[in-house]
Amino acid sequence: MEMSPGGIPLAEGGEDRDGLEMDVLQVRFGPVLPHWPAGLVLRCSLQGDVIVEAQAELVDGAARQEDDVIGPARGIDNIASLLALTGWDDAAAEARRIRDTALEPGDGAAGSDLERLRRRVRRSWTLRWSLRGVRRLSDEGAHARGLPADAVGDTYDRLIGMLDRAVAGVAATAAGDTGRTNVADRTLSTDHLAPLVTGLDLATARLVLASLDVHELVAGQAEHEVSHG
Amino acid sequence: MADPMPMTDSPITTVAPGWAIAALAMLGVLAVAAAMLDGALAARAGGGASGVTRPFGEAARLMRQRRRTTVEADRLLWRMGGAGLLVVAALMVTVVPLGEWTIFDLDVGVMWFNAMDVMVWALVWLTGWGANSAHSLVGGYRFLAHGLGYELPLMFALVAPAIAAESLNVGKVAAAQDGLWFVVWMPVAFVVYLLGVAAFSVWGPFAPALGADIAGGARAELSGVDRLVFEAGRYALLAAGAAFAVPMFLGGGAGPLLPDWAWVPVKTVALLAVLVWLRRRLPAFRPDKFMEVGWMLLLPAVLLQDLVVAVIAVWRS
Amino acid sequence: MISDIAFWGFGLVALLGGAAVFYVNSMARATYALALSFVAVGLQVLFLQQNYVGVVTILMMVMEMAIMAVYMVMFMGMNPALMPMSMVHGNRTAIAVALTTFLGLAAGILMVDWPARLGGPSSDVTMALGESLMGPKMLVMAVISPVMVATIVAGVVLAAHRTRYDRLGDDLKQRPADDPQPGGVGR
Repeated sequence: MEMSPGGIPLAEGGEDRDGLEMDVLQVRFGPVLPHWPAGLVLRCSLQGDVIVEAQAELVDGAARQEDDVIGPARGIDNIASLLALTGWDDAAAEARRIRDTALEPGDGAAGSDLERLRRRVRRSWTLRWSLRGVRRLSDEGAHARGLPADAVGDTYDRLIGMLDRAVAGVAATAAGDTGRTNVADRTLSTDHLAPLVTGLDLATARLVLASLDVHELVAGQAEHEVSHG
Repeated sequence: MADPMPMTDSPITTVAPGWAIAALAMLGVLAVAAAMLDGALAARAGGGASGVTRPFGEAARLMRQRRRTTVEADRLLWRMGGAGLLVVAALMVTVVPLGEWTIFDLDVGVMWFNAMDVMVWALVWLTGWGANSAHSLVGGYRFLAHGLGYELPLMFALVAPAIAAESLNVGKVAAAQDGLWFVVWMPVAFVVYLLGVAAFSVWGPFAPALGADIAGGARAELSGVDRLVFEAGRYALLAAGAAFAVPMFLGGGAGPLLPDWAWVPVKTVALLAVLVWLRRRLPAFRPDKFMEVGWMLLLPAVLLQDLVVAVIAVWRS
Repeated sequence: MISDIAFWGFGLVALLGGAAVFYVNSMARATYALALSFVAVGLQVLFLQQNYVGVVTILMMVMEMAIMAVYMVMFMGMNPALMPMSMVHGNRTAIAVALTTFLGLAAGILMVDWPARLGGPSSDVTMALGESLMGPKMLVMAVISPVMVATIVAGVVLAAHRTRYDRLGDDLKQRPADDPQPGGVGR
């Protein structure tokens, strides 16, 4: 019997988080996935659907230019992604529609729609139940991981933060303050991502990634070492 | 050799097997209606443009699509899993009486329904397994994780009407609700039952097994007709679950003005609409969160409901 | 006549399904061949007018096989769908034991002096079966089931790697609990 039927090598065993031996499967996520930070590649070791080890890379990191992020639309798009990942299709569709409105020049409707979406999200106790306690980060924890200060709290807090920022961003754009939404703040290094998702199952890992509100990714130190090594 | 259907003194007339085709047609109409309603609600929410015609467009698209193949797929198990949902839904409705007629007047019809819904465990897992892809396998296992959370509460929810009617025959359960529908004094069992229907149809909040985060989960590699049959099976399960609730909780064919056989589809459509609409309102109940809810809230709640029903049943007799 | 054919047909499916368990070379197929065999047996039991027993057999066995699929991938240490593997070991002994058992039981069936039927069957054969199986031992069985459940729970608790002290700290006061992932009721 050959040990790689169909050219696929067999999974190796490894100790899982309960102290039992379990198969380890190597799976690559990205660079192209719906509701996924563009260009991110996550090489994961999975036991079941729990990520036991991860390595984040960026496809073509050097060639990426700072694209013209038009106002707060990127942030709203991230909200739509996170809502879609929670499985709340209606709210996600609503967020996408607001994003499209926000991209149109000379809008006025995005602000009130976004305010309504924020109320709707805040009112949903099932959504709060679903996201509460998922990858809770303390002040020091966020700082030590090199994450922005607004990443503190759990995934639900981060979602509300995203909505608050988007509302403020739309209001600022409407006031003629174009392009002043600080994109630089929301640039993350791939180094920070892998430790955040390790130990979580796929569904929650994707929620946590989406809740970081990534506008721009840069290749991290670890990747350079890998590519030179 | 004995006939597999012993004559029970049930209030139900068994019709000729040929009527099974009519039952299948009704199930099909209900499933299509559910898909149309879902399309309309999605269009209203901004999720799609075409509304009520979406299921037909989608069906036409899938029928023309070429089958995707994957390396080292276990085709036999994969196809069985995908096609089985429709079969299971059809077997479920055989025990649902339409007014006074039924196709299969089994004396343990409630158990039969329960056995069929457990089949879904195997089928969804097989769909996830057969494709030999990491995403769909994760989806298949997610469904089993959900199953561990919802199945026991669902079973005990089905027990409540059976205790009150002192029978597992669906026709007798319906007849036992003369005057007072079970939904009135077994609300907990009814709600848990509806959650169970959504769960075994992999529907709405119980759809993480088919989630966007794993590229469609168990159905990730399904394409063309296979996918069409799988989706049709989900809608058919939803319709069958709604239809079964009518004799169990909603008084069967009882109702004013209309004849018995007309009330059953009317109630079924109403319940089906609620289930379809539910998907719009709720985010996913991920298995890691729902498991505890199932075991620590739903199961004790529905057991308490059973106890109350049992005490009342003993006191009445 | 039709029910005779159906009965023997299901018997054949049950037998072939059982044989397929040892013939196929994937664990998923072996598992579900066994499930098919049990479903056929369950359907046969329906013909014996033991409807409850038959349907419960189908229900329990399909569920059991689905759970078996979980354990299969959790504990088998290799990817069983991909790796064709033999479903048999200890071939000769197993065949010898199986054949001897079969012959012994079959001989028993043929040689026992079956009593002639006295009176008609009970109207509720499932109840009659239950009473003749359990009869006066019903109380014992009713007591044993909670004891068995308690044993299972205790076994899992003893075997679990993580205890409440890992979750809640040494003084059991740490809130929220330190779980790899939070559960749904916030305990």
